[in-house]
Amino acid sequence: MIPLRARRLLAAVLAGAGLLALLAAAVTQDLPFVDSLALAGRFWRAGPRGRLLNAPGLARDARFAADALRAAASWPADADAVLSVGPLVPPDVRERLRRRAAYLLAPRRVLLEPGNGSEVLLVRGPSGGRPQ
Amino acid sequence: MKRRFLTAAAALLLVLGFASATLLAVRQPLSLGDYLSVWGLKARAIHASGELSAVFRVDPAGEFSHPEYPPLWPLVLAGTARILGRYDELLLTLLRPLLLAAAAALTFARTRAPLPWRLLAAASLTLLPYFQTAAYTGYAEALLLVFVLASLFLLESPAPTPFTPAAAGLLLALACLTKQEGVLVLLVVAGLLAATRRFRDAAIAGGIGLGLGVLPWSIYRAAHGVSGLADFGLAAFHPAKPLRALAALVEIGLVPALPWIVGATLLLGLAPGVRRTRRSLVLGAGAFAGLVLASFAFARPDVVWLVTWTWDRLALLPVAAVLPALFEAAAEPFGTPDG
Repeated sequence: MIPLRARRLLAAVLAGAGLLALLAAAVTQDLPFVDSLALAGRFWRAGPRGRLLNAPGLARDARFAADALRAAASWPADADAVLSVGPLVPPDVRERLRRRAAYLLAPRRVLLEPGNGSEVLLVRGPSGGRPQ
Repeated sequence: MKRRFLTAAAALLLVLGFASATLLAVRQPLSLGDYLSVWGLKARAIHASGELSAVFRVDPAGEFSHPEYPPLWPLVLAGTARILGRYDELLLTLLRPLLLAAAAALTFARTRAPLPWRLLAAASLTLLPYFQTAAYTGYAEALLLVFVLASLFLLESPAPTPFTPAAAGLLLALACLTKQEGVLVLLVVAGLLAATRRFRDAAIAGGIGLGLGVLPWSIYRAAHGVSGLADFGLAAFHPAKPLRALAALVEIGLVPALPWIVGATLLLGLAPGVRRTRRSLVLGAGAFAGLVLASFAFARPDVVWLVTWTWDRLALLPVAAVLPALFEAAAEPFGTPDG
């Protein structure tokens, strides 16, 4: 039987160590606190379009995302989008662009077609059309 | 004096954890990982078209968006965007602190211990790695967690009303409509209620969860030609896969998880009263983990890949569920758990 004082000490140490470990992990973030605040400030001051194009998941393909956003604003919702990607574009980049296009052009379908060279081209497909 | 200091320190920790998680969530628009490919894609499709069936249109071959996933989180995102007047990925981040506050409040309410320990339990939830990263903002687990913790809060109530099992069943139905893990929680809860001879509660909660959560979405997606889970199927069954998944889990997570497992075991070992009162909860968390592991037997993708990319998110539910028991155990040597 462990004495009560020892049980109390052990319980306090275990709970305290666990909480301190969680706290330590929380304060060592990917960005320093001041930079996080500055990042938040920039995004909350920006307009909806600027926010979206500079979002971490889209910023790498900001020009492509801007084209997709323009298309989303002008194409009918039932029109498909055709994304032509050339063979020189790496497969992971092709897949990334396809997903970004699907997100920005939702609820439209994004149909992937083989393109030429390193071409990346987004064009409007037929309204209510079937996948090609 | 000492208790007041402890209460203030615990409250400060809760505020720090919540503030840190909130800053990480709201500092940038939703756009990462599965938010963009799965949850946000569907939410934008529903918002733009006004139709739930749009979730099947955006990725008709089901190659990346998991059209079979339950629709409640995309519906919540789209509904919130509708209320806000536009689909704004930054404004939608505000859902995360709301859900975290609800989960922390439920953890506080579920912990049967003196005030400082209840505050510490809530603080520990806000400090969990899942909430202390920007990567998972926009994912569905936070909503799932709120429904599961709310149903546990009701089912653990020392003074249940006749409506308690029905309300818990409704919350579990919402959990099933949020993520597939909700179905596993429903199975575990119904099984544990039956095992503790609460047959009526098990039938009501399980029936409502199944009837309002599992069946409607299964029928709806089947009507749209989407059946089964993309990553799991009977044809992929192999009995060795859970063992491979376990080996991968040990390789990836054992070293970081070992101190936590040892610490939690020691805490529960020091608290015979909590071990008795929380036996079902700990068993339930273990059963949930066992079912998740067993489900890997039906995994289509490589289980090592699957475990690598999902284990930390899958661990959120059982870990968050047992936090009250751990803090009750820590409090037990200092007085009665209900003190």
